[in-house]
Amino acid sequence: MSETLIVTATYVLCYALIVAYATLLYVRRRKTGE
Amino acid sequence: MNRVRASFAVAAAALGVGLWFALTAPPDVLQGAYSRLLYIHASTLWLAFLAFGVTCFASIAWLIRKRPRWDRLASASVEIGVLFTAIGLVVGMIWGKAVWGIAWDWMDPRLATTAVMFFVYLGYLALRAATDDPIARARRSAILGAIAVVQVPLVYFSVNLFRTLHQTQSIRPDGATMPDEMVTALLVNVAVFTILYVALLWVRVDLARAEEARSGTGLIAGEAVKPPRINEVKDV
Repeated sequence: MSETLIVTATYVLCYALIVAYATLLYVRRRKTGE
Repeated sequence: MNRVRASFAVAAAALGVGLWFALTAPPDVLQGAYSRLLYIHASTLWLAFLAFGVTCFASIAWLIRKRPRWDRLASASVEIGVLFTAIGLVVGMIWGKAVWGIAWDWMDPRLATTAVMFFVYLGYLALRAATDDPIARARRSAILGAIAVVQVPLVYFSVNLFRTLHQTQSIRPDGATMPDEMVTALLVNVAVFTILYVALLWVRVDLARAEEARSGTGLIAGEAVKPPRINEVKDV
């Protein structure tokens, strides 16, 4: 695999983890109903 | 919910700026495009250090004042610190495999101490999950949160104390070991991840407060005897 592809895939993975955590917080916050 | 969306929108915009700086910074002569992994690897781990420092401060504040807000701040900061540490470790392993030819080496002090720090703070979260009583949970996690921070300087200075595989710090008091454009991109990304940390921390603390209010748990010390304000009473 090329360098650029590995670097891009790594960034996508990391940002996806952050978005997943933020989404989890958002959903749980909505469930509290305030 | 609008405040939650607004904080996430600010964090997302900041991440976009950080990504632009990371992808437009000049590549390293030897490592090529792999050097761009620095901006997420170092930024997340520096912010993990900050997160665990905040946990230490909030834990000591809880032990002194016994206010629930300090317990919420400490636990929220650990959760985000663990996430950032996990990202930093994963990126570091991908980077290591590319430029060292090996993803992990337990004999490297920086890698080993970072892994231990990660598992200790995972243990902090497990300890909280395993304790039902809110006062016992807050006390036990505050003690651990105040003590566990000793690992942060150990991890940071491990590359100076024991030289093996991992390089020493790139930014030192006597100057940086890389071009100004790379230093700028790194500092911008540290600022970006600081914004992300603050946004996630704010939302996580707010979530903990809302969940405690909903379930009726988490009332500790003085707040347990406060009467509800009239506009907070529902279903009367």
